[in-house]
Order: sequence, then C-alpha cells, then structure tokens
Amino acid sequence: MPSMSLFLSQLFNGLATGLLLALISTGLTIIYGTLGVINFAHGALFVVGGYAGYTVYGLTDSFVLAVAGGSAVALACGLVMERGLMRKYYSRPPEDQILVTFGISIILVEIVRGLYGGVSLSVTPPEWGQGVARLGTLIYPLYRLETLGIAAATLLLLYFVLYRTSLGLIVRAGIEDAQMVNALGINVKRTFLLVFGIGAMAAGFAGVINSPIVALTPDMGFRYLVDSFVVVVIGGVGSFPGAIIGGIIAGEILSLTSMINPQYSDVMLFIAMALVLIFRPQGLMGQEGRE
Amino acid sequence: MRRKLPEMLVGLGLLAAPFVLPALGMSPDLLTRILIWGLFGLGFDLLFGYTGLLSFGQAAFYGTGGFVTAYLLTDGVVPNMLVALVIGTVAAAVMGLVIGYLTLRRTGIYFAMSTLAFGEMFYFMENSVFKDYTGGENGIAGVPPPELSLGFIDIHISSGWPMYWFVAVIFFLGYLIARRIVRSPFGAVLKAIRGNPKRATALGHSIQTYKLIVFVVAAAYGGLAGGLLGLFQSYMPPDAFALDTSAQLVIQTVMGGAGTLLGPLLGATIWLYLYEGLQQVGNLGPYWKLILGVVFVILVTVFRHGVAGALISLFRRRRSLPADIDDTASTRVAGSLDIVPPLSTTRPGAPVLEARGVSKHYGGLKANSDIDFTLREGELHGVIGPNGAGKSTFFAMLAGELPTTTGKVFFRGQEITGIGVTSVCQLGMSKSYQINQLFEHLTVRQNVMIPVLARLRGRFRGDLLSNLHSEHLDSQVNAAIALVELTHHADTQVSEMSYGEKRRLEIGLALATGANVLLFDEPLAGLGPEERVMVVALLKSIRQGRSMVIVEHDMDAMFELAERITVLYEGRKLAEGTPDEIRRDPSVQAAYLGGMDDESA
Amino acid sequence: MSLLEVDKINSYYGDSHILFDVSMRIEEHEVVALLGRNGAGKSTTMKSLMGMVEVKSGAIRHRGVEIQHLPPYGRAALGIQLVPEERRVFGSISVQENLQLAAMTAAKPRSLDEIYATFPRLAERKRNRGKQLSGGEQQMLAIARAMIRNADIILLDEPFEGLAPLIVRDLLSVCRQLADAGQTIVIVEQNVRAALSLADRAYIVNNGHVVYEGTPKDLHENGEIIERYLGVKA
Repeated sequence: MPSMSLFLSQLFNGLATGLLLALISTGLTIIYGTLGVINFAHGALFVVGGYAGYTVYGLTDSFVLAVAGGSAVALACGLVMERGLMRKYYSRPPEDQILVTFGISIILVEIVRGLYGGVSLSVTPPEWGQGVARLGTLIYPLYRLETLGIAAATLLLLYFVLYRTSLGLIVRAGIEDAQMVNALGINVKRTFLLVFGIGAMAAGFAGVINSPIVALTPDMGFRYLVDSFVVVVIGGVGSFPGAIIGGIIAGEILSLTSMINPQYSDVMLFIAMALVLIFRPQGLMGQEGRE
Repeated sequence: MRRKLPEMLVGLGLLAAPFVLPALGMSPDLLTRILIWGLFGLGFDLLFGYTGLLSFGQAAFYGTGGFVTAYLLTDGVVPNMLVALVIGTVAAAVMGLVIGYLTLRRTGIYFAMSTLAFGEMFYFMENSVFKDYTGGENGIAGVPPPELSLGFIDIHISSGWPMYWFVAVIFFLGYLIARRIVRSPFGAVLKAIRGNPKRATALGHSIQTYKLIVFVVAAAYGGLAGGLLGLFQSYMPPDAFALDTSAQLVIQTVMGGAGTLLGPLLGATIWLYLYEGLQQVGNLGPYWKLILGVVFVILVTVFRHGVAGALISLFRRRRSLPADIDDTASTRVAGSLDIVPPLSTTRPGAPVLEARGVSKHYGGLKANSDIDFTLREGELHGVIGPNGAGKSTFFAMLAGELPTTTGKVFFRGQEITGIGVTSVCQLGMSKSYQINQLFEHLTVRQNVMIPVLARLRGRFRGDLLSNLHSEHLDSQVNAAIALVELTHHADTQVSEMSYGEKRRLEIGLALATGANVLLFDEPLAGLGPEERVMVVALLKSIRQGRSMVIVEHDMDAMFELAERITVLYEGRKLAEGTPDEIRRDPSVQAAYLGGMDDESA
Repeated sequence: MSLLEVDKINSYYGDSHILFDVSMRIEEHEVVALLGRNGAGKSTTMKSLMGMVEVKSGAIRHRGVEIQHLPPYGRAALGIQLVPEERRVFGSISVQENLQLAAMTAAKPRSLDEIYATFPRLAERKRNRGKQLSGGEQQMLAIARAMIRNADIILLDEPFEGLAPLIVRDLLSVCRQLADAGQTIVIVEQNVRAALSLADRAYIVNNGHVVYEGTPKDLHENGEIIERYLGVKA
C-alpha cells in the first residue's frame, strides 16, 4: 500500500505533467480547430524551444530570458513554416499535411542534432527553483512545483486571450465558421497565421520550462507529440477545455500508475485512449463527427 | 501477356540484380535489407497507396511478427523455420485485426494519430510487459540461420547471396499476391474507398469490412518482413517496434511513390543508398537524415506521387495514355443493363416505396411532420416545394439514410427506416446526388464498375485473389455506360470531363446498381439549357422497368416528366396529384408565391 | 454610375455552371428584389456579390471600380454586407460577442444600444449563445450584424424563410424602417408579396438567367410573369 506522501507526491507530479501536456496539446488542438491542420512538427517545436532556451541560458544566465528566447525561436519557426509551406497545403488532403509536417519535424530535429549533438544536455534550474518545498509531510522539488504554477498561469493567460480578447473572439468564431468571419470583414488568414505562431510558441515555451526536469535530447519531441495526440483524442479535437482536462487525466494516469509499476504506465495511457476510441470516439468534449 | 509485364520485369530485375548492382557498390546485405523493406511496403502500399489509410503504427506488426518468429526459433519451440515464419505472420495479422478494429472507427487524422499511439504502445510493451520474451532493450540474439528441410535435402541459407535469394523469392511471391489483390474485385473497391468512401458505401459496399481486411493484410506483410529481418540479422532488434520504423516505412513509400506497389522498394533503395552513399562523402555523413528530410519535403510538395509516380506519368504522357486504363476490360461485349428483380411479385400500380406518417424533429425544429407518400410500380413521381420545405430531409429518410423521429418507410412491404444506404442499395434502390459524388481519379469505366461489383458480389466478398473482369461484369458495365451515352469517354479520367458529362455519370452510377427504384436529387442542377433537355430525355428513356422519384426546381422539366407530384411546404405535405391538378391548386400557388400567411401590408 | 453594377457574370460551384451572363444594377438608396424559384440562382448571385462564390467571367463594379477579385473581407470593407440564407450566426459565442465581432472592422459602426433598441428581443438574450436562439432570433441577429456594420449595401438572402408570420411582420417593419432611412438593400425572397412590398425594382432569375426586370407595378399588371417563373405553372 503506497504511503500517503508518495501518493500526494505522485498526484502533484501528475498535475505538473498533465498541465504541461495540456499546454502542448492546446497549441495542437487550436491549430487543428482553426486551420484544420494537424501539426506533426509540434514535438519538434518543443525540442527547438528547449534547445534555444538552453543556448540563451548559457549566454545570459537568466532563465527568464531563456524562456523568452526559446519561445521566440519556436514562434519564428512556426511562422516560417506556415508562411513558407503550410499555406500551400490548405487545399490538399489531410494526409498530405501530416506528411509534410512530419518531414519538417525531421528537418528541425536533425538541425538541432547537428548543432548540439546527440548527447543529452541537462539544464540546471534557476536559483529561485532550486531546493525543495515542504507541504505538510510532503517534500517536493521546488522547481516542479513552480512549473505547475507556471503552466497553470500560462493556461490561464491563454484562456484569457481566447475568451476575453478580440483575437480570441476571432479564433473562436473562426473555429466554427471561418468563411463567415471573412464575410464580416476580418482577414482570417492573417489571424490564423498568428494562431499557428501562438501554438508553436506554446510548444517551445513548454520545451524550455521542461528542460530542468527532463534532460534535452533531440529525439525527445516525438514522445511528447505522441502523448499530446493521446490527450487530444481523449479531450476532443478543437476543444481548449478538452485539452486541459485531457492533459490532466493523461498526466495523472502516467503518474499514478507508475506507483504500481513504472513500466506499465505508458501502456495504461494508451489503454485509456483505446477506451475513449471505443466508447466515445469524439473525445470527452469534442464535437460529434468532427474529423 | 501485357498484363503480366510488371511481374515479369520485377522477376527479371530480381534475377539480374546480383549481377548488375554490385557494380554500383551495392552489397548483398544492402539488397536484402532493401527487399525486406520492400516486402513490408507492399502491404503498407495496399493500405495507404490504394485505400488511402495513412497508418503511422505499422512497426507494431513488423515487431510482432519478427519477435514471435525469433522467439519460436531461438527457444526451440518451433524448429521449422517456415512454420515459425508463418506463425509470426499470423500473430501479426491477429494484432492487425485488433488494432484495426479500434483505429478504423475514425478516419483521416484521428486514424493516423491513433495508429501512431498504438504503435508506440507496442514499443512500450516490448520493453515492459513482454520483456521476458523479447529481451527488452537487448532484443533477441542468436536467431538460428534459416534452414529448409525438403525431405531429401537440407538447404542451409548462409548470409550473403544465399540470403538474398531466399528473401528475393519471398518478396517475389509477396509481390505476385499483392498484384493479384490490386487487380481483383476487392482491389477495385479499395480504390473506390480511397476516392470517395461515402459514395462507395452508398453504392452497396460495406467499406468498414474492406478496410479492416486490408489492414490485416498489411499487418501480415509487416509480420512476415519482421520475421525475415530476424533471420537475416540473426538478431531481432527492439527498434523494430519503434516509431522510427513506422516513419521510415511511410517516408520510403511516399518518396518512392504510393499506389504503385514498387514505390516502397524504390524508396527503400533511395533511403539506404543515400545513407550509405553520404557516409562516404566527407563531412556530410552525420547530416544524411537532414538531407533526407529535405528531399522528402520537396517530393511531397512537388511530386505528390513520388519518384515512381513521376516516372509513370512521364511514361503515360509519352504514349499519350490519359490514365490508368483497364486494358483487361472487354469493350466489345454489351447487352442490356440488368435490373434487380423485385424480391416479391409485384404488379403495375402496386406501392413500391412508402412513407407512413414520417416526421423528423431536431430538438425544437420540425423539419418534417407527418408525411405520407407512396411511389407506385413504374411511376415517375415528382417532389417539389419552396425553400425550407424539408425536401432534402424527407428525401434522405425515403432513401433509408436518415432514421425518422416518428413514422416508417417501406420498400416493397419491407421496412427500411434508417437501415442505411448500403443495405438499401443491396435491396434495389439507389440515389443520384445533387452534387456529383464520383470517383474523380478513376476512369468512367472504373467508376461504373463499383456499383456493378456491389450488385454481383453483395456488400462484401473477400475475393482478394479473383479476377476482376468477366464477360458478365464487362457487359453490364458497358451497358450502363451506353445508357448514359458516355461510351466514347469510357476510358477518360473523371476529373477531366465536363460538368454535363459528370452529371450523366452521376446518374449512370445509380443506374448501374441495377436499382429498380431510383431517387434523383435535383438531376438538372447546374446544367445549361441544352444539357437540361438531354438529361430530361435520358430520364424518360430509362423508365422501362423502373420506378423513380425526382426532386427538382425546374418546373418545365418536372411537368414534362412527372405523372404525379407531391408538394411539400414547411415540412408538411401540402398537396398531391397530377401535374394539372397541382397547377390548378390555389394553395400551391399561394405557397410558392407569397407564403400562406397574409401578413404583408 | 450605379452603386453596384453586375456585368455578365458567370458563376460556378466547382465546375457546376450556375449563373449565365447575369447582369443587373443596384442604385443607391433603392431596394431591389431578386425573385425566382429556389435553384434558380438567386442565392448564388448574392454570394457572387459577396465574393463567396467563384465568378469566372464578367465583372462586378462598385462605384465604377471592379471588385470581382476581392475576397469577402475586402468587399465587407467597401460596405457590402451579406446576411446569408442559412443565417450562420456563431453558435458557440454569445449574441453580444456576435455583434462585437461584426463591428470590429466597421469604419463607422452603429452602437450596441442602437441595435438593442431596434431588436429588444436580442437585448434580452444578449448573453445567450447563438445556438440557444430560436430561428427568428437568429435571423434578427444576422440582420443586426449587418446593421451594426452600418453597411452601404445590405444583401438579404431569404430573411423570412421558415419564420412564423408574426416574426416575419416584425422583421419586415425593421426592413421598411431601414429602407425609409435610405439603406440600399438587395433582397432575395420566395415570399413574393413581402419582397414586392419593400422593393423599388425587381429582377426575376430562372435557371441561372435573368429573365425579367421591372417595378412591382409592372409585375402586378403582368400577373402571368409571376406565375410563369415563380409559381407552379410551366
């Protein structure tokens, strides 16, 4: 019988992982909801952000600047991707979009590998993140607690942007009926470029935040890509609340099952996905029939 | 003889390779490896290239087949290599059945995503749940070299050229089977699923079953290839299950050209040759994958059909062949188009299609209320009504597509309420759509084959290895094409036809199902004045032996064609009668001209 | 020079040829009705004006300037606003948000108060999401979106379809108010009486061709034209 403090600690881990996944998945699901593109390069953007942040951190010794730098580089990659390549693909079948974003992910990962090598790079947490926190009887790494807070705050910020700003209004209406938004005088294509950028930036941001917890390797992106796919399937494509709930569920599944047997925790996640596919294929909060 | 040309070329190629390719620096090991990927790709191409299902999780089956075979041989459970290979292949196929069932519940992006996830799941299970059998991170080493006991002689297949020949034979057999599948009736349906799954379903095919079977076939090919990998390397690596493996398969197939069966082989050659080649070029070695990525993106963007596809279209253009012509089709046989005989005896004037008290409510919205409708044997019955009258909803319920909220629909006395388009089609009723629903990348002949195949074979038949063409099939296809006057366009690709010709094909598809009851949804939509005249004449000419319902807005055409007309208004039946009666009915005029309410000033 | 001039346009849905050499003109401050049975091409004409349907040949001119190459948001910027036949209010956002979205890029938008004064029903439901509104309320919202933009030309595509008579009466009076105030309106309607009660001029479209142009008076005097093209007589 696992002890209470172990249980609590895993619960927190699950929440931290979950919110991080939610952050990555939000970007993925919003891009799909507005542009109808499923971005297989999303994991690569996570990696690009992480490594760019590492470089900035090394140069400036400021973690905050590292986060900004990593996010900015990921944003730039996203914008270039969209402008340069993706817009040729909007009228092509979804399989083509999957293939080209997959190709781009290979290019990005190999560039990272070329620049930084294949050996894993560890990032030390900033001073304000070192040490442990005490919550009652529970001793928990301070930085992990802080990522929980940062992820939650970022998601809140995204929520705010989505539900309380004009841009967010355009995005929400655009997910539903982009042509009508166009007819009401708004150049949706420009907005969607921005959306793609924000989604990419969220992935890069998550990549930097995560780097003190999990060492950087060029291939780590695919793992997070797969997990965020699972989150999107569980939560429902195109749904922001779905990404959050799906993320938390996924995080907790990974975390709590690892208490019982760490080797099985990944498998449990996929079983959860299989169950959703069987009993509620549109996801928990997805719309019926939305392919 | 010509139809066997690809098989002969491949056979010759395999025979010639050991004498020619080493001059280009290709070792027997490289060639064997390429063939294993090619075999893996044969199955994947059937799945992706022909049926349009992009799976990112094929490694699950590659690994399953490979590890089962390797385990059986190393543990001595099954000493016979061929038996072990077969068991491994079957194990992979069973996994294919399970995973296919789960993932094929959705299509497109969801399908790709869930196959990727399940592929990863297998990878994790290899390293955890099944570690004792798979060796976890270490894989299975010491797979005994393959040995064939043919009773009187034992053949030991050593590495190098003997291994190449062993794998080449298996690849060739796999290729022959894949070619047969592609040229079978089953294969024709796969192509239809890729082009327009909705229409394939409506024309009488149970497409989910077809998809599942081809998924299992692809898994089997993967399992066999995996088993061969273990024998080839004497070692079964855990990364057979990795996402990288699934990805490599996809990339190779796309680069080489999907939908050609040999695309994956070509792609594997490019990949492996590039890899080995670039290692020699100074500093480029570690960047080979980056270069590959760039090449891949360029190919996907510019040459959608890969290298093989580009070569084939070049070849076709030189010979001015427009499309993938079915040269085995017999163009000369003709007869008259069969009409599905009614299941029960019937007489003229008897009710054929009946709606009784049919309503459709969506929450508070009443799209249709309490409609009674009867189509009689041999009748041509029109349905008209102003916008918002509920015609499309009613039509969908009549066709058995949409379940009713209340009320039932009967087809020759059998209830068909909401049983679905496939069943309805098999019963002998078919619909022609307002917006053309055709198989754009196929020729007219290939389009018309699809409904005829459904009629001759039922909603599903596992005839993967049968011949596609028969006298009966061809004569029926030719008859249907002739009926809509598209004979001189029979081998034209649909995407290149004019709108009017496509509209005739749209009607032709419904006719080719052999339906004795036909529903036409605005058959004149989008046609110019002369074309309208042609289609009206066509509709008149096909009345013999058929009962028809037509929804139209073109009043001239409607009054020329229909014997009886039903008027819908605001979801209800407003009036019904002969064209003259309808013309004289004041409530009908009022409905069309100003609404029933007299509220305007 | 007309406010809007349509010069022999040919419009297509994919490769389906819907409009054949359609020409018409709309003068400032008039109400023009487009009549015809459904399937005739009236909605396609409206969508062509708004840039939502492909015009393969011919020209559309706004105050003399060709606009057939402009995307929908470009035409909205010129003051042309379509109220589509399916209404297309955004179901997932509130009434107020629908209006705010519409007003975003308008040069001189009307105020929310003005809109709510015209449509008190919408004021009551301002926090409700689009999909919670009844058919009539959705139609009000769709028209309100065009009004809040203070559009030069409002294109009304079947605004009264499927609505209860009382609501039609209310909407009709709103349209009349707008027309009396000088709003240029193009209205497509199957409810011929309602359309003619508003219109200064009318065009009849049949099978993708313009077959008649005249005033309501002309049409009342030549009743058989209405019966021929709109009614059920062949």
